[in-house]
Amino acid sequence: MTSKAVKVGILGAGSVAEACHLPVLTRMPGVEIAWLCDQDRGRALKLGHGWGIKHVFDDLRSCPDVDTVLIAIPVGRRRDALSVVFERGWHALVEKPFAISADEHVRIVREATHAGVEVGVGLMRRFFRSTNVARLALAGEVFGPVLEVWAAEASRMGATGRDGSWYQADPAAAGGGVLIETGSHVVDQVFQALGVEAFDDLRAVFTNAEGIDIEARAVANVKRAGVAETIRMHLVLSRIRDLYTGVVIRCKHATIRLGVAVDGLVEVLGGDDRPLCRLEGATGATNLYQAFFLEWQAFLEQCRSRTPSLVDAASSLLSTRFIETAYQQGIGARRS
Amino acid sequence: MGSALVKGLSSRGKLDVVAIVRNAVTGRTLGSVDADIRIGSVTDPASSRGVLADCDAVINCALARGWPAAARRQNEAIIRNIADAPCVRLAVHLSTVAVYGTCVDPCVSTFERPRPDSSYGVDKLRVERLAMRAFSARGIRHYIARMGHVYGPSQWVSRDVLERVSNPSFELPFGGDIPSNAVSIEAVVTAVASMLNEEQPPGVRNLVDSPQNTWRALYDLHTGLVAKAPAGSLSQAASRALRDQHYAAARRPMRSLARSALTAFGSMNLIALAQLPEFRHIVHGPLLLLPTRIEEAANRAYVRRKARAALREVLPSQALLPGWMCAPAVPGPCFATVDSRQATAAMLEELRTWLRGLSSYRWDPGAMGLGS
Repeated sequence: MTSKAVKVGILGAGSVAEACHLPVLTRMPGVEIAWLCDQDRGRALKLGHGWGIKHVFDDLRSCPDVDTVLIAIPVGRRRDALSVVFERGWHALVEKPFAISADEHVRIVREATHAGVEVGVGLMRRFFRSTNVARLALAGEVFGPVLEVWAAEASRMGATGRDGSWYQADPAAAGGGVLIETGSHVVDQVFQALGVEAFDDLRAVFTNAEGIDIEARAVANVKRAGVAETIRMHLVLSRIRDLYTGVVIRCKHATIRLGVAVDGLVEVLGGDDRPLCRLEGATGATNLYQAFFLEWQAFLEQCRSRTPSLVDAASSLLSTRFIETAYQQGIGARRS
Repeated sequence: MGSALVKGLSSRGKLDVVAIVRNAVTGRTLGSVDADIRIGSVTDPASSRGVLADCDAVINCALARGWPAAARRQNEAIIRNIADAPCVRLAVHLSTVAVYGTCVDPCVSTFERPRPDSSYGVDKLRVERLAMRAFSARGIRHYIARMGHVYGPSQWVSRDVLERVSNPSFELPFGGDIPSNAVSIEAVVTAVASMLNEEQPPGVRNLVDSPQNTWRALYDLHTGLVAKAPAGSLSQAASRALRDQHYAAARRPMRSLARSALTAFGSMNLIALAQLPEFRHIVHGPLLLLPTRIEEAANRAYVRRKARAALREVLPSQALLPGWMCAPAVPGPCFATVDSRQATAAMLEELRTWLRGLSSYRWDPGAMGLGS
């Protein structure tokens, strides 16, 4: 890429493109949104009109060349699109979840390498200030060695405002249910905060409804980079129950809690698990637009410099493998 | 609310309950209820005709959200489509006590002439009037329930209580010794069941606990279930001042808005502006011409503002407690429902389990078949 504006194409005119990527990309210096493509041309036209995107397509093959594409279509429907993207030599920032299986994940990364393009993953929670602060505090072993982790994101699903065409109602499109949809974020957030490089003894149990997991619980041993001892990790994701939500990391000398939301705090808890004080940090996003901005900034820099960034797709292979293993080995797993 | 009604009404066994949801995922989260779950949209006439085709009664818990105009059109469409459904002869429409205002002011807001002070209250009042007209025109027996603040498992008031008491500086206005205008989900289910059975006269009424619980009783119930310390009490004087502040804001919204705008202007960082080299360069010449008296006054104003800004940094102001926490009882008649003590007893274990799940990160992997 040269110093002229980076041309970005957007594949998928759904809510994440509309609510998160477009508001950020249209304000990013040096970025030009070249086109918007969605199989539902009406939806693409409406969104394109609203955001001043002149060129709208319903077939990716007819889109003109760009430098980078945002892949914002469901994980189960990306295979053909990614082939086209790589054939055309476009870099791709792929929304999470990146892949349904580790094999698929590796294949996509390999195909991108073969095509000579960069591929990133849209795990914007990596840029949250809370994730940063926790990572720094834990890397410095300020509170002593980590003993165990309890991570959860669980709330009873209320009104979604989505009609029957919602991709999450189709397990083939969504790649599963709450584990892959929400878990891809939470597992990655834990792995990022702790610097996890391996896991074993993963056991999971699912509550399903017609092929979609609506609650998932898992326990596993995770190993941090440069640390010999393994840590027990507990994970709960639920759409049917309101439960304690957050990541609690018990260390030898204190317990740290980080919220999973972008404005979540990092708190040090006392013996009775009441917050004693907060850990503050200077870098990282405190709102969603900042997180998406930093994500794009990192990926565009990766495309320019050809060196892996925080959103390099290869870096999330472990969480893809964790989720796949849970689906393969879990009790009651009914992934289609 | 909708899922609790589906669960509560279907477990009573006397009704064939149909749950209408917009997509399959939402339907699946209802769990194993003895109800016919149908996917469709009551905002769309064709879809609505399909899902409501054989329903004798409809409970309208739907509320469209989003941009005001679009949401209003959708809410109107919901009422129209219910009224047009071929078999419907009874409708229960859930409105809200927010139609009386956030902090009920008996001097200006009455049962007959409610004065909402929020966009939510205004919209709900508008929709309840539309519902009355539409259902009356079709000869549909109807109940409009101005719902109190709903507490119980999965309900927002119970979640709010848990969040507030986790802040050690939280204090209940009036010590909590005022009616809460709250209603347990159990009482809601019981009241709606009696409406469906035509055991009470139709019309518009409030739906709150009977007898009303105080905020103190509600807070103590919740803190007791999760073994937390009881909430503190805000003094009478501070509580009255809080209530007066809400009343004043509701009575003179423009004045309140102007005051907020002035406060926002006052919080502009003029010190940072004054310290900008460019600004200093521009004002340097005119400042030389100022008489000493004015120069000294300007300097004092500068120091005062700087001190105020510095103190604000160290001492963050606390957010104002919401008006509904210091409001008197809602005016007008109420729907009959189960005794509030009986209702609380009926849902106590479920509430305890739910609150404990929310307040503790630990769970037992062994109990889930995941080893120790």
